[in-house]
Amino acid sequence: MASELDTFLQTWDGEAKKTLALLRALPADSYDFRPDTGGRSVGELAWHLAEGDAYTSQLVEKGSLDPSVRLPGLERPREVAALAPGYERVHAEAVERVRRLTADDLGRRVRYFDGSERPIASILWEGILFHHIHHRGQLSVLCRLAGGASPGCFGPNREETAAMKAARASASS
Amino acid sequence: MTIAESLLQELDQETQTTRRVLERVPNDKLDWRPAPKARTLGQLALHIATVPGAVASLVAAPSPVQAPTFVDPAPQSAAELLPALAASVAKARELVGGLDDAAITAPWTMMSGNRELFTLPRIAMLRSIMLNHWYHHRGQLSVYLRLLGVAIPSIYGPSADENPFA
Repeated sequence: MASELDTFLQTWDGEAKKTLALLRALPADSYDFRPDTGGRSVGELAWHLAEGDAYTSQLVEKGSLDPSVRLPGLERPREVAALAPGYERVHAEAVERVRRLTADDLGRRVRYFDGSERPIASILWEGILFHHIHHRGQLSVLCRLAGGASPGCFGPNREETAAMKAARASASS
Repeated sequence: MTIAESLLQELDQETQTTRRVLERVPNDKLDWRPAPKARTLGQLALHIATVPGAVASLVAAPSPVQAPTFVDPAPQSAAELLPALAASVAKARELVGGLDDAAITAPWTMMSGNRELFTLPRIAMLRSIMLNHWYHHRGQLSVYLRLLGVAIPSIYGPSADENPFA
């Protein structure tokens, strides 16, 4: 059976591909779109996905990390077209860090951002992956509100569903 | 711990978070949608409430299974949401809890009529569709709530717009 680390890396890889598809689908002029005045803009929310991979993988590697420290190589790109390539680079660096872990590391407890001591396995799944999926779900709504078509993520998106229905209707007529 | 037990532990923990989000859905805004073709607040919230049990029912069934027809029912009242979540999670616990490691890693096939759509180990479906897909929609719901001026609870860290990385 695949090790937990392999399973994590495989799942993360699949989700990162969907993230790239969404980043590429953001309308070119949507960077500063901010439907909730107290919330993140499209550009800020998109880059938060890269920040999550970078900060949390470095926390895992170092055993603790002060989130107020500015990490090198993480300056937020200032245009939509630069978000996907930027995420791709930051994600690949994060994967390399996680790949260096061993099976024994996964049960080791390290200090999470909230000060709690958590096993590395739980930080990988919850701190990196679920947190990422959560904010990507938010970004998929912002993409729609900005006039874009968010690609299907766990199933067909709206346009694909309509196309499937139309295909079924024409096949049965 | 079996694979199922470990998944159910995650399900239990995430159910608590999901409950905290669903209980904030305002009853007088169920028909609101952020864009003309988007799911309404009620549809999205009920979808989230029912995902675990619905996915577990499909995945725990003998393979192959027929692809379901997707419908987006809307609740009559926000008071339906928490009981629907409780029933859905109870069903998922029962069905997933009944899968031993052999069954949960066995290939599982979804069909459309006579055509095979895909074959995956059951665990991959549960990981992706019962859980990850659930978090995705809960993230979407958090935007709906914000746009309606509803304060949202902490989900994976401090909520609101405290960006620890800024």
